[in-house]
Amino acid sequence: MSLTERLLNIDRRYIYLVIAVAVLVPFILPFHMPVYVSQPVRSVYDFIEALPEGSVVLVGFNYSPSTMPELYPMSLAVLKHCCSRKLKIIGMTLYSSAATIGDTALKEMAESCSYQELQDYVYLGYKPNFEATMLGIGEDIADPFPTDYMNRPVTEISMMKNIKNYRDIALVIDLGSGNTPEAWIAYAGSRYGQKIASGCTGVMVSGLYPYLKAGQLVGLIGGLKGAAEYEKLVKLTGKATLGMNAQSMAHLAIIFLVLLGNVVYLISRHKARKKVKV
Amino acid sequence: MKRQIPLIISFVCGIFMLIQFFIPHPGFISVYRGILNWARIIGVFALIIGIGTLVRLHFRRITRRSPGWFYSVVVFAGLIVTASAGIIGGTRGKLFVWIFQNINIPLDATMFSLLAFFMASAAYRAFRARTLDATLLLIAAVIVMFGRVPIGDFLWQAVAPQSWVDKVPFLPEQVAEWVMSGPNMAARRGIMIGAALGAISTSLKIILGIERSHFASSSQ
Repeated sequence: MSLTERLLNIDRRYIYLVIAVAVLVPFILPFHMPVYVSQPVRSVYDFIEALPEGSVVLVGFNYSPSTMPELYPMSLAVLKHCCSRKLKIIGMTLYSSAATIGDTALKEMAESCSYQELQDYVYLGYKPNFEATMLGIGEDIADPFPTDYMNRPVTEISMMKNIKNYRDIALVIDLGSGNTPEAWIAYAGSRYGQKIASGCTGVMVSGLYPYLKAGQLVGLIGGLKGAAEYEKLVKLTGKATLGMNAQSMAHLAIIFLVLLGNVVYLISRHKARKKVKV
Repeated sequence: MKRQIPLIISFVCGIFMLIQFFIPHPGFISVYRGILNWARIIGVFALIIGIGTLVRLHFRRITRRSPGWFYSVVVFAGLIVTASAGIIGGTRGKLFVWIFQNINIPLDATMFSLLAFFMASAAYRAFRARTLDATLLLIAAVIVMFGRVPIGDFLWQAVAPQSWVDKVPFLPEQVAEWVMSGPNMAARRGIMIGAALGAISTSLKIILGIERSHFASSSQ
């Protein structure tokens, strides 16, 4: 068997090994690389930065544990920014598996910047049927969320006294791994004129660009790279910044494998044509 | 009657939701809020149906001793222990949070991270420049993969002549950004407009009772 044939039929375990090494080495031998802050990420930062102290931000933790490595560092960076600007935060989720994620992220934020639950932030927990929930918030937030995560009546929470619906919310930030950004745009943005920012997984970024360019999103934080950019803006060395090295090496490894696969394919095709001519 | 009543409900609710958007009358708003509450309540039943289907499926696998039936026992154990921890100790209870952080998150993250290995293997075998379309896709993918990580800029700044780097220090990132906001967005917009028109047409067909495939059988 020739070298090209062997490379064409390479055992997939060697490919797995290449990826494993590419991901692991940066953790063992860390190095620093510059992170360029893209405009969509800066737009989210600038919007939050311009909000007056005490403005209300609704943060949707709409992702499952599978996408936590990408979206959890992003959540922490965004929350850190909100608390550094002294904004009031309402947390909620439309994913049943994310109820604990939102609670954990808000607690972590509260510990790092001395935020008090029910005074500076409220966690409403999970509600099913996200279209109905988003539309319900537009009428009265106490309709879909009569109680918070710990079953305390929302109408009795001091922070919620003057917050009735989207008119009292300066920005909705959807941190999601599914189709919640599009739903926020359709149900909260189009109907109630709500400003929306999205933080999403890397694979979702391309699908959200039309909304970004149309002005239906104030900004977009895409994937672990977006999270690292946001960490840079809020001067935080979090897991996204640390994970950038591993993701960089994995991307390089995949590019190398794709190019190698194509070179081998073209050589074998050239050889096959030559054989036919002979 | 079995078909006519759901058809009437679909028609009345569909038309109401359509016209209430343009009539902000308190009476309409009150009915609208009632419908939204109903929709959320119905949403909860989806969870109950999901759990019911899961229990039925795995119970059958255990009773029939199907291959891998032991994993169904694990599913039951997980379901009972997690639900009990949440119901008894509350969703902020130590055990519930511990299960979530030490079992649920690592398992879910592991399953998802395996994708990187499968994608790399699939890309090596299938991502070939066989046609012009495939070649364009390949070039775009390489540009975006290179530009969406800091190592792209790092290598550019290390390899390119200094005068070029001074002019555009983050060229790979900017080229990737152009691919995303130019060709990608144009194609996406076309797809989205097509899908939206399809959704409007299907919605109207459902409201008017022309589309009935959501009933048990189209032949009924």
